[in-house]
Order: sequence, then C-alpha cells, then structure tokens
Amino acid sequence: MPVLEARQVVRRFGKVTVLRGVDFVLHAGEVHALAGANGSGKSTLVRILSGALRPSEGTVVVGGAPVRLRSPHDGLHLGIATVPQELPLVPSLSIAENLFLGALPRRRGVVTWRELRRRALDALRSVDPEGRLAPDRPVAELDLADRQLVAIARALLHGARVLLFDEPTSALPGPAANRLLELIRLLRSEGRAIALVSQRLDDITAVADRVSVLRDGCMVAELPGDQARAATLAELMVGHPVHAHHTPVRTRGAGELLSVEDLDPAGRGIPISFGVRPGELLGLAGLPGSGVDELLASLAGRRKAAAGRIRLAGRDLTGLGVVRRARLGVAYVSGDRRREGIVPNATVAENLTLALTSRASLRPLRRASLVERVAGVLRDLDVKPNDPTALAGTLSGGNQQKLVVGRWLLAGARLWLLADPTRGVDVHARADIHRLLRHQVAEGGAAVMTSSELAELLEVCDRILVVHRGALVAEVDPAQTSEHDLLALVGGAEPARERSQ
Amino acid sequence: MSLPDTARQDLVGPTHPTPTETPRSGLRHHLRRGHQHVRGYLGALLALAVLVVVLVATEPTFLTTGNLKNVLVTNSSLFIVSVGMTFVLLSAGFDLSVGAIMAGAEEVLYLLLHAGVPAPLAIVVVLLGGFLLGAGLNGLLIGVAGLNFFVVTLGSMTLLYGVVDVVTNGASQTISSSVLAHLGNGTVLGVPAPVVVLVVVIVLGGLVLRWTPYGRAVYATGGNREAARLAGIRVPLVVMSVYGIAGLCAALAGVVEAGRLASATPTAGSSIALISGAAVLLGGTSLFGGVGGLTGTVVGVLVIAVLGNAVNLLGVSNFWQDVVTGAVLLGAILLDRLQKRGQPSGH
Repeated sequence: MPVLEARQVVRRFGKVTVLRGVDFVLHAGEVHALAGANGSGKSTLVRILSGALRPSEGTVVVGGAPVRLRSPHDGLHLGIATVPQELPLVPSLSIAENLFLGALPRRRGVVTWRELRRRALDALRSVDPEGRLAPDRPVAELDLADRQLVAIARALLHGARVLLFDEPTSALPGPAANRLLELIRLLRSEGRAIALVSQRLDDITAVADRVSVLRDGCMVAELPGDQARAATLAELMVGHPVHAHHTPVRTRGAGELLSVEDLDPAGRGIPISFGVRPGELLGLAGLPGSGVDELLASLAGRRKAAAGRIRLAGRDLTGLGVVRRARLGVAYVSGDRRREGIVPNATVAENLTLALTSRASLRPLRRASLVERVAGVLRDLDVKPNDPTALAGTLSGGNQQKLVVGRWLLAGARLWLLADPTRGVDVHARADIHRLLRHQVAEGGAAVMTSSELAELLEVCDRILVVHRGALVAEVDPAQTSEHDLLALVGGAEPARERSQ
Repeated sequence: MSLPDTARQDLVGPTHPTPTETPRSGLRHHLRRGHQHVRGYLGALLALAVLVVVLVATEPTFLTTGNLKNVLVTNSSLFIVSVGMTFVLLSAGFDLSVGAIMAGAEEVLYLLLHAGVPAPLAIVVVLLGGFLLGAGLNGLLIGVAGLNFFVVTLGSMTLLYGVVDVVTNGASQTISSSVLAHLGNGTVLGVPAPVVVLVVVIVLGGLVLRWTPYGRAVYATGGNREAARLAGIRVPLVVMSVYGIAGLCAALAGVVEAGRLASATPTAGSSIALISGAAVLLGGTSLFGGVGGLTGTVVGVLVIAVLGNAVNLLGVSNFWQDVVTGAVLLGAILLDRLQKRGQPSGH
C-alpha cells in the first residue's frame, strides 16, 4: 500500500488552474522524482502533499486513509515532513537547540542541556555518520549543505516516514549535492518514502526509482528510474522531441568589448573564460544555484570574484566596485526593479536621470536639453503614461522597467548586464525592451543577459553559454537550438558536442 | 529510592561516545559556550578593563568600598531596566517606554501610599501594573496586532509621560515610607538593598534566559520568527511577555528609585531607555535579535556606570560622560563588525 497518495488533485488560484487532476503515488522505500518546467505545478503539488495548501478538488491519502491536512503541522503528525528551499532554522542558536526547537528536553521546567546535547548527537548520527557536526555549533556557522542536514535530522526526529524534498540540490556545489543524494539513498534503504522535486535532471536520473513528469498541471508520464534519461525528461517536460546541437565554448578572441579570464565568481575553484564582441548580445543560461547569478553579479561589480580578470575594452575592471564600473558605462538592469531599479517615490524624469545625476558632481544639469532628452527616451520606449512628472511607483511593472533601461540609455552605457530584465513584465513592454537592447547593441555596445525563461534567451540572444554547477559547459547557437535542448543542457545533460553532420 | 531516568544517565554518562569527540562534562561544555559568547562583548570588556586600570592607577578613591557601592547603587535602576531591555532586544525589538513606565510606577506608588495602602501591597500592585502595561499595551500592539515596536513604544512613552504630567502637574512628591526608605537606602548584611535587588533580578533573568524553555523561545523568536512559529512556539505570546518583563523591570526600577530618593519624580527615567539600550548593545546583544545575553548586559552597564564614576572622580563636566559613552558604543560595534568579517560564512 502506498504511504502517501494524491488522487485526482485539482488546484485553482482564482481563475488560474495550476493542477488539473493529478495522481501521485509514493511507496515506502522508494525515491519518486517529480520533474517539470517552471510553472508546471510541481511546487503546488508538493505543498498540497505537505499540508501547506489544500486541494480545490481531489484527496490526499495517507496510508490508505483519506485525510484533510490543514497545515504542515498536520502533515508532520502523520509522518510527512518537507525539506523546503528556505530552511526553517534559527541561525543564532546551536544545532542542538534547532533540532529540538519548541520541544527542549526539560526536568522540572529547566532545560537539561546535557540531555539535549546527548539527544542531538543521537539525532545527528543518521545524517552525519562521521560526526562532523558538533551539536554546540551555531547554525549561522554552517553552510547550506550542513543546514540541510540539520533540517533533515529534525524531520527524522519528528518520526517522518515521508520526506518531500523541494529543489534540495539547486543551490549546492557539486560534491555537497552528491553527498545529499547519497543521504537520500540511505534514507530510502531505511524504508522511508522520498519525493524529490528537482530541475537538475542529472540528479533525478542518478537517484530516482520512478520519475513522474508534470507539464501544465497534468501528469504526462511516469517512467522507471533506469529508463529516465535527461534528454527524455527534457522532451517530456516541454512536449516536443529534442534535437541537440551544441559546440564547445569559444574562447576569447581579438576585438572584444568584454573579456573575462579565468573568473571564479563564487570561489568554487572553477575558472570561467569568455568574451563578448561589440554588437553582440550574449545569453547566460543556468538554473538557480548553478552560479549564473554570481557570474553576472561579479561582472557588475556587485560581488567580489575569488579570482580572475574582467576587462572592458582593454581596461581592467577587476578591482573596481559597482559605482566605478557604472561610471565607466557598465549598466546593470535587474528584474527586481522594486529593490534594485526604480525609486518609487521619485518622478519618471528623476528616475531617468539618476545615472546622470550620479556623475554630474556639483555642475547643474542643463535643464532644457535634459527635458528634451527625457522626452525623447519616453517616446522611444513608449512609456505609459508619457508624463515625466508622474511618480515612478504608480507605473506598471513593464513601464517601471523601461525607466531603468532608459536611465542607462541617457547615461550612454556601453556594456549592458541584464539580470532577468523582463521578469513579470507584460509582452508589449518586453518587446519594447528587447527592441531597444538590440538597437543599443547594434550601435556598438554589448550585452550579457540572464533570464528565468529560456525561451527569452533563445529569442533575443546571438549566442548562449550554458552554466551548470559553476562551470561553462556548452555554447549554443539560438538559431539551431530549441527550448528543450537548452532545458536538457541546463539540467545537466551531457552535451553531445559537434554532432556529425 | 530511585533516580529519575535522566539523572541516572547523567551518572553513567552517554552511551555512545562518537569517534571524533567525546561529550564534554556539563561544566566545561558551558564554559566553552560562554567563551564563544564573550566575542560579542569583547570590546566592552576591553573598555571596562582600560577604565578600571586607569582609575585604579590615578584615583585612589576609586577602589574604596564606599565608592564601588556608590557606583552600583546610583546605577541600580539602569541595571534593572537593562535586564528587561535585554529580553526585548533578544526578541528583535526595542522598548522606548521603559523610562515612562518607571515614572508612572513612582507616581502610582506615591498615590497608593498617600491613600494609606500598606507599602508591601502597594509595591506588588505597582510591579503587577508595570507588567500588565508592558504586556497589554506594548506587547499586544506589537506581538498580536503586528505594529512596529519603535512606533508603538514611542507612542506609549509619550502617552505615559503625558498622563504622569497631567496627574502631577509636573511636580515631584515626597514619599515617606519606612519600607521604601529601607529598600532604597538600607542594607542587607552590609550590602546596600538596591544592590541586592539588582543582583537578584540579574540572576533570575539570566537563569530564565539560559535554563528555561521560555528563555530559549525568546532567542528563537528573535533569531528567526518564522522558524520559531513552525516549531510550535507561540510567537505572539513570547513577544507580549518580553514587553511585560521590560515593564515589570521598569516598574521595579521606579520603586527602587522612589525609595532611594524618597520622592516620586515625573521626569524619572527620561533618558534611561536609550542609555540601557546602549548598555545592552555594548554587551553584545544584537539589535536584530537572537544573539546575546545578560552577562554581556552586565558588562555593558558596568562600562557606562564606571564611566560616570570616572567623570565624577576626575571632576570633569558630566556632559563628557555621554560623549565617551557614545564613542565607546560606536567603537564596540565597529570592533564587532570587524571580527565578524574574519569569520567564515554566516552572519
């Protein structure tokens, strides 16, 4: 009998249906992986199984009996624990206290620290057989992998027979990810049931006994683990056949605007080298945690790389911070515009001239010409409302993002660094921003861009580099690549280099 | 007679020593924990040491029993208020209203005594009132209604001082009660009564924070509210209670102060919230909650107290005390940041 089951589960959020009658069965002693692209409904299903969400229709069945889970607490009482991406730990407290948070051992109302320590050592043994984790260490000192171990140990303490892992390896470096997979195998051998949600297809193929694939809220396939290959899964996730075609990463050449030499953005010890020529729009594709975000951040000077050099038209940028780089014409445009883009309580005109203001020193800005240029940018970008005095915070997301782009247009950026620049932006604004970027690049600039949607990279970029576990693993030509190829590559499929013609 | 299970285990020791480390004995284990903690108030400890060395060398009167007693007695209300403040800061809050609660407590105490209520009963009523005011006004608005602690306690501070002024018309009242006079100026076995009170409060507070599940819940709430909630800790109650404790401590400080000065002053405690906040921060407790403790707070208060004493002994203007206190606070926080930069990951 399955230990946990979803039967014909439907979940709607308002008018949007995220799950359309999904079945999911989990047996003791197996790892059942759940694959699916962004927005396929994976996380929603996991949250329903854990009790964090209730299904609109259908039932969750635990040990053969239908249950109504009202909270993760209810789930935990029935032995179902989640290991979420955001681990619920208190960093300032010790490992031992975190393990027994809310249920500290006590005698006559007094915490028995010795007993706590002993129990913690016991509890840690299952996840950390070598005894690396001393119970007294504050969780703040642990890296993400060790924090995960603490969270898993806590779930086991609560008697969890079912563990739901939500993207457990996405932010882990390779060796730590492998150790976690090893632990998952161990938990399976103890007879626990494990659901594994992951975008890392190589992790799924490495550990899963069964793989289910969700697409647009429907379960489209279920295959045995030994038949699940990354390419097959990518195909099922997108729904089309795969035609892989990629070339090795081109190394640097002459006449580059941006050259990156042996850069190690996150201190993983993996050097990255590539170049961007004037007139080129380069895409960086990778899953969250692959190192793609760190790479872009170190190009922008927002984080200090552990090693390597960055040059802009021959000038060494490596030691410069974000402000100096911005003044040299490096534009950073983030999809998180509320935090990193606009000043909501300032006007449209003030937002557009922000990058100019920063280098104007005490010389007054010449008003008349500025007004003209602001009006020009508003027209070019088709900002609505076309009103320089409107408050930026009152504009739609797409128009706010146009302001951020327009700001660098006015400031005369040479190198554009774009971190998921059209996140949550409507199609028209997105098209306007793409058009403008193409235009800027054609004028002799260059751009490096990431996106949460691979289709966007394929649509606008001249060339795409694939980042997987901190390394550049492939270079693809968007004209000859489909979304599923790219999906398989970012998920860790072995690049089939230089296929024979 | 049989021992409880846990006690027996304590006697025979743990059953599975791990290869890499053998479990330490309780005492050494706690010393190590304590040692880790010292880092948080190292700066304050250094400042205190320098101060004491300089004073011992230059001012013969510093190291006399009379002077040391005086340092503790004049700062007894700061000590007591800072204990409550430590609870609040550990829970990731701040209480600006402690001074106003202190003034209110003095006033209510005066009114009750004036109306003929016996002093012990009046004291109990005032302490209870302080707790209820803290928990029921500040705590309810912050912990349950979810309002910002700064705004709430700024509001309740203004409100309470206003009420006190309305009632007293801004005038101080003389309190004549033998019980209070004894509490303020008497001695127990040669130790001034206010010192006894402050030691009891510190020890009690320290025990609660360190040894009770409630105390650990305060740390957890400040360290990561959501994790605490998910672990089954009733976060709103914890938040209410810490403001209750801050109110209780402030009321107690008011009682001691009223006894010491034999009067109820409407402007009592007007700067104590910020000074005790500075003392707690000096003592290594984080403004963002979850980190710190009462040992550090004691060091922090001592720094401020000895500084004040030094200013007196050296005959410098009192205003210099604030200048130096502020500089020490900034220096200690800077030192803390520099130390943390050297640590591996985590913050």
